[in-house]
Amino acid sequence: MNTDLMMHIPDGFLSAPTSGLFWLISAAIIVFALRRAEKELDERRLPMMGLMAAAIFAAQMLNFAVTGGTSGHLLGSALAVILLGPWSAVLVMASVVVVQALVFQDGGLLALGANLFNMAVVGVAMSFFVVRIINRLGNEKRWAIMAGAFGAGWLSIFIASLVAALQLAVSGTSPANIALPAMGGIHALIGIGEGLITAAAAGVVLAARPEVVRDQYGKKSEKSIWLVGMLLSVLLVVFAPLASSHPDGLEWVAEELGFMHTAREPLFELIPDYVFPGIGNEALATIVAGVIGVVIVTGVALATARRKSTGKTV
Amino acid sequence: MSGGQFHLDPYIEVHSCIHAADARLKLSALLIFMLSTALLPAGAWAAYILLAAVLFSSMLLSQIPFGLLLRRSFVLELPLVLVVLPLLFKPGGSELLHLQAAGQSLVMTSDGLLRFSSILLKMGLSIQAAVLLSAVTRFEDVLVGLSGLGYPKLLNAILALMWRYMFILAAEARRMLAARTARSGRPAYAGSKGGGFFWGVRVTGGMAGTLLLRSLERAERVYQAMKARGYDGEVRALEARQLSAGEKRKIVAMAMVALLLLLAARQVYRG
Repeated sequence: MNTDLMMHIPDGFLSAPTSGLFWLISAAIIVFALRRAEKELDERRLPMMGLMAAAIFAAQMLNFAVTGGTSGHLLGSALAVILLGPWSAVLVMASVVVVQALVFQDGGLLALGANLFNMAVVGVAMSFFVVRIINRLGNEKRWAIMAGAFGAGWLSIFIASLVAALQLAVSGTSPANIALPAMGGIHALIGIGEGLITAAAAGVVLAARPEVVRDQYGKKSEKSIWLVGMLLSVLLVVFAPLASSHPDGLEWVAEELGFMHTAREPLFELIPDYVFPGIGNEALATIVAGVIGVVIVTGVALATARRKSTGKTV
Repeated sequence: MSGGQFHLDPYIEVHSCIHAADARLKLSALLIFMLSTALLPAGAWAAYILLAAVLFSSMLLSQIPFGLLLRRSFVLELPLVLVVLPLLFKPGGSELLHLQAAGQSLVMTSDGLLRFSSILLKMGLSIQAAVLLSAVTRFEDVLVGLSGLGYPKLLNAILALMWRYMFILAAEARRMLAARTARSGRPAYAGSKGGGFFWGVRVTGGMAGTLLLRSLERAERVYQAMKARGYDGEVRALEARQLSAGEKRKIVAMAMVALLLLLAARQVYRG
């Protein structure tokens, strides 16, 4: 059995609104990453990004025995961050996920937005977040780079799996009280493998080509990714236990919001019928407000970071 | 991944009208097919059968052995069935079956069964359609199609480079795995000595690091080679051919049929 079973969500598992929403979010973030990467793109960078995408795809074939006949393999978001820096890593991981979906049906096409979000955005943001913090604390010593690699590998897998579980729960495919502990529990363990492999691989690269790894740490802090990373982790830490301690809570929300009825009702009835009466409910209103809040905060963070960076170059 | 097969590229070279069609036409058809599958109501069996009929006839037209295409999607679907299994026991509707296991009683419900089978069917149709597309379309053509559909140039260039070197690096990864097996025996069965989890992880980490390191060095050589051939930081690609009026009409026609199917299904299976 493959251990990354649900890290690549197939088509049919996500409701149409969920798929659409994550397509929009991922597309926006990738376009933003594209702008940032283009800005710092020297001409050597393109072949490197193409080759790294191919290498991470190939490295995912390197499996290792976990226990009782199951095996795990690398996902690679953290390694991509360590070797390429955050913005290029988003693009490289996005390319890997796109090829897996388009060519190998590893993850669906309508679900591609969600998969991109989990692996290319959340995975990368989490990794960068950890790598930055630990290297600040450890002053970019060797142990700090290794510890950062381990932490980044672990957290990227763990948080990405929680986000995937939430997406499944909101779509009504898997109840939150089953999906969250199951996905989170399994991936907390798989993440250890990812973390150790990331650290070992980073160690090899650090020994042979220290400048490649150190280059990424030398760069000035990327506040926006930092912020998004912190926000996401805090949100999940608060939200995940809440969702799983109220059995079927999320599913109930999804039903109230009309996610599950979209299939039964014509699309054009969705907005007048469901959004306004639903808001009357306190829990629902809180969550809707929460989602809107996160979107706004993220937008503001991204905009500020952009304003700041363009201001500096002018 | 495609489970250790030596032939990674799923494209199968045969002559058929489906192979010959423009990649953009096929991509649009796939997208329309998947969207209609996703938006169909749960339990709209007649509509599912219609979609399956369309898919199966395309599979037959493609001249690729039918069983091969079915097998490819079946391998992908099998583990996913387990994931949706709990849906069977979702409360709601009439109770169909009582199960007693380990002191816990599970009740299979009609609502659960409906949701379970609908999700499985939708997933099966989508995966099968995607399997067909990758068997009848070269990825190079998909790339041209994507750039014609507005996929960013830089991402397209990364994908093109990735595709070109993916198989070389995959073969390298496979050689590393073979070398590890040759030197260590088969690690970590229950009860076997050596090759525990930490050993495996350390060795695999070293392999991944080596693979990345070699790829970095290869990237430098690739850059030199590109430079020698006049690369100046700008990626130039041939412009994609304009779609003919006939092809555009085909896309619109497919979309209209799908829309009609959706509207009809919503009328019939409403509430």
